[in-house]
Amino acid sequence: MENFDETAFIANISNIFVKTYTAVMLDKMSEVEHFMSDEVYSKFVNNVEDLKQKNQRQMYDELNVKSCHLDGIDEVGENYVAKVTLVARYLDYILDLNEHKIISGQDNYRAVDTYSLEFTKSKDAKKRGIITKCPTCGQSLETNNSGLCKFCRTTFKQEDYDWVMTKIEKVNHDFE
Amino acid sequence: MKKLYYSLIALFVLACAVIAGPRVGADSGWSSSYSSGGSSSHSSSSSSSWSSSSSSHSHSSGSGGSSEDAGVIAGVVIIFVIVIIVIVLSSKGSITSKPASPNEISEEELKKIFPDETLESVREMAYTKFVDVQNAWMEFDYDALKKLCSNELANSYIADLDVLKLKNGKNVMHDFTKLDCKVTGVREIDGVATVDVFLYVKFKDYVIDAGTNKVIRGNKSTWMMNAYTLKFTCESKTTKKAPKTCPNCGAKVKDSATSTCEFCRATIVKTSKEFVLTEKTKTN
Repeated sequence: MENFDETAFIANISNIFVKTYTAVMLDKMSEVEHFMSDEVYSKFVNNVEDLKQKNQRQMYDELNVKSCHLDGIDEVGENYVAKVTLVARYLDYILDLNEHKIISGQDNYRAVDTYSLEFTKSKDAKKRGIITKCPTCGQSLETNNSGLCKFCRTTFKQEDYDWVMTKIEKVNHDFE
Repeated sequence: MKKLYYSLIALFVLACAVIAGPRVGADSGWSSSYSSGGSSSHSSSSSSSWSSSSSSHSHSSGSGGSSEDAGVIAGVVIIFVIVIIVIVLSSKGSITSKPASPNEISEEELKKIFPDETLESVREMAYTKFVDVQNAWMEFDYDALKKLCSNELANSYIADLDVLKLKNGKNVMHDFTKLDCKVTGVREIDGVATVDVFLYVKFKDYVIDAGTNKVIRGNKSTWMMNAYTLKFTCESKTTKKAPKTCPNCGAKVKDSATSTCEFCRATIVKTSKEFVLTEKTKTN
């Protein structure tokens, strides 16, 4: 793949993972919608909403990416598909939002989970300028932080420009 | 601390059993630790570790006599005293090994990039900003964090604080004392000047439940002795460049770490004239 910077790609993927799981904790999934396909986004949102109805929140406290490795990039039709193995550490528990108490899981030692991820980018992806702009109102966006325009609430279409997460699967679960 | 006391009692009983019992060799030790935080400033760890190896002695059947009993008692008392000393020193933080102090750059090297600064002024700046960041973190002062830190770092801290709020927690930090501070590197790339600082600091650090004020993480009486590598950046003083303009509309950009163009409202990351913290890594 031409002009592919693996270091920058890995940093980007790690950022996407951390932002996504932080969004789950803070119930701010709309801010990370641009990072993923509709299918992956729906799965995350459904999980958050299921717990929200019980006034509970999934926590990934003290989250950090232990390692992130690019396994390979394939050409699939009009797209590039990158396969990534990511190991993350966090305190995995469910919090009751009324009592602020842990109702499942524990917060004494971190889980060390391995994920298999796929990211897809169009071969015809457009080049981004120095400033990323909202496609609807033209305001500038800091897409590393949020893809949701604060002014008009449009979500930035990352798939037209960059990699988006199209698959995420936990393949191993361990503890520190 | 509870774990420590239970372990102490278990160790004492074990020591008695071993000294008074048949000839065996055993090691015992424990470590209790908690760590929090990835890259966030509430990262704190309280750890104490102690290992002891039991002494073994030959044991003969039959009446032992008073000298044997005295030996056993003396051994137990000595171990007990050692344990007490270790616990006291650990809680004061004295037993934590001091990290090796790195070499500091020369004044000449510093002045090549920062002609108006001295090593002392940079050390002072680094320590002051470190404490300011910790205080901003403690008070959930998002605006202060945005002024003191780079955009990315501030966003990361704010997300961590949002999670802490969710748990109804508050990180309390106080009694800061600078133990060591060295300027370890300077460089200038594309108009951005960076200074690296090693900081070794002592302070109290624990998390309380914001509703009950009960300590839920850490210990009020334990001193944290943390070593950090800090990176600060600012606009280069030596590279003369034309006033920064907005790449979107061409208007002059105001001075702040992250500015919004007042004409077209584009968000522009711009290097500040003041030092901002861009990275803080705990090294011990």
